[in-house]
Amino acid sequence: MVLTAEIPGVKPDDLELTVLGDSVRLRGRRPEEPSNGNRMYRRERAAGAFGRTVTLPESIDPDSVQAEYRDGVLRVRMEKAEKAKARKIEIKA
Amino acid sequence: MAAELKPRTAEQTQAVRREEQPRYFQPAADIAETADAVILKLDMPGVAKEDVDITIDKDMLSIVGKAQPEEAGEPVYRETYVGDYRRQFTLASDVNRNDISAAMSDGVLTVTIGKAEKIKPKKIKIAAAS
Repeated sequence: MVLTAEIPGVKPDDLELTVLGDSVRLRGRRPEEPSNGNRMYRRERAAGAFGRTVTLPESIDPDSVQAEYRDGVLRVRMEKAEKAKARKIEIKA
Repeated sequence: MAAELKPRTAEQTQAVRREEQPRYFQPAADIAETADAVILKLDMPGVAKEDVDITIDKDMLSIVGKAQPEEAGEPVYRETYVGDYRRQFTLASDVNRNDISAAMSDGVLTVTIGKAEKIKPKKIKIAAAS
């Protein structure tokens, strides 16, 4: 499973990712940019702390989680937990 | 009014879809004015430095960010979409067109447009009276 989150302008060190069972929690903070007395004509980009918990359709293996942050996008790669994988059962004659 | 940039499009960040036109996104922007420049910041997550195009045609500053193709897989849940970013601004006449620089960092594009010399605030030295 792959989770993609758009988080521009955040350093990877300011991101916290935790995984438990079938839920993934992402927390972080985008630093507020002080106006330094400059005139601001437009402020559409939000700043501050954010957090989000996503429930996945299946449990994942916490040891398999790999996260990569590039160009403002976080990509989290996770493998399904062994117990959540479909198993083929042989039918005895 | 000093070197103000007027956004041409409405204030929205949602996708805009038109007939026979690929979907594009309007990136969120901050515009600040310092003593000698106007600074634009745009959120364009997923766009690499090489994929940003900034052009000036007459008084129109166009910013295009090309998104990377999405990786394969069956979406379970969807909130982000892949598409190019596009936004245009009208430049005021009192900015210096030859003094525009841009930097891309972590999906945030910063464009710095210098003000024309004539409108920069100047400090006037007061000569001591003899």
